[in-house]
Amino acid sequence: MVRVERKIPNGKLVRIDVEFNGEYIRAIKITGDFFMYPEDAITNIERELAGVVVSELERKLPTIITNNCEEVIGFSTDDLAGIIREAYERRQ
Amino acid sequence: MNVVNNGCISMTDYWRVLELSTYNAAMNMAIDEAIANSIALGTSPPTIRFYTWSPSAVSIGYFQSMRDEVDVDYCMQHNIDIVRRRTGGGAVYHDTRGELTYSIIAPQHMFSRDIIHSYREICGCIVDGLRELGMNAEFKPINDIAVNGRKVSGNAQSRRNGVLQQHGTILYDLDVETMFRCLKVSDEKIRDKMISSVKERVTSVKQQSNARFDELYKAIQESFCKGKRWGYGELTEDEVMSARELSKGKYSSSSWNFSR
Repeated sequence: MVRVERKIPNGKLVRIDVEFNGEYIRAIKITGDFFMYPEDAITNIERELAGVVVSELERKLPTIITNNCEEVIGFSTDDLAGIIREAYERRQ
Repeated sequence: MNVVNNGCISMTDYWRVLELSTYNAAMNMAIDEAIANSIALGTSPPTIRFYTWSPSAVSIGYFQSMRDEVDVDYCMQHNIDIVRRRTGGGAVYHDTRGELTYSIIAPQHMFSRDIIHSYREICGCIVDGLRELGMNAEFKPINDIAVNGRKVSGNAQSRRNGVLQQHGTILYDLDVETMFRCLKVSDEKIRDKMISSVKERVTSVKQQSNARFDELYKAIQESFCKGKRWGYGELTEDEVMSARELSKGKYSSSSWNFSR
């Protein structure tokens, strides 16, 4: 399990605990003081991120986010993708 | 009933005002949810609620991890409640004598669809109330209010089942030392630095004015009610029963409070 946290400039703190299986995300937990509407969407987002190949994050993450929630305040999909990538690099 | 025609939010609906009450953390969160559920069912009117916390408590945001944010052992040893909110945002120390908390719970359509704008609408009432007391208050997006550039109020909003719920705190007095005992600081060595940094960034009504707590409460209530049709009310029997169940079954449970 790799943990990375980042305070997004003009945004909120995002912390991830992520486990990789090769290039795939095996499991991820996203915590922090951000806002997401509806709140319950976080569970689906975490579930759908499991199985995503890191090299496809930039393509898949926006769809996963927009399919599950109306709005996120405090971080962007690029921010989250960057944090996951950083965790992947640290894991290597 | 009081009817006023102009104010910080233009509303035509009738608002119920629940006067200042004090509960423990689980019950405070349970009451907010019970009210939101009743409004979603159409059995309760839009509601403005004021409350304090006894014992003192720490609440964490919906997306936060209790173990990451809170020194749970310290809180247990010092009779400080811990609870996870149904709203996002950060961890807050609710001193039993040091803050005024409000909730505004209403059908979503009564507010702007734009979330930041709706924060601005609701926080605008608090800004007006603080200005009435002579403070140089302003809204600081995303969800804060500052006096002379220092944070005095944090706010968090949830939208579920067509109901908007925003609750927030207005700091009356500041106990940064206890706050930092309850909240986790990754490195003990930086605790002192963080305390001085927070003292510079955060302020309280007491530091910024001569207003007593009851004057703060009165000013904020008047500001929230301005421009609305409103009257004092009580929780319905259903809300009380529902709140008791939610308090015991959800907000006191590890499965909720430690679920992230």
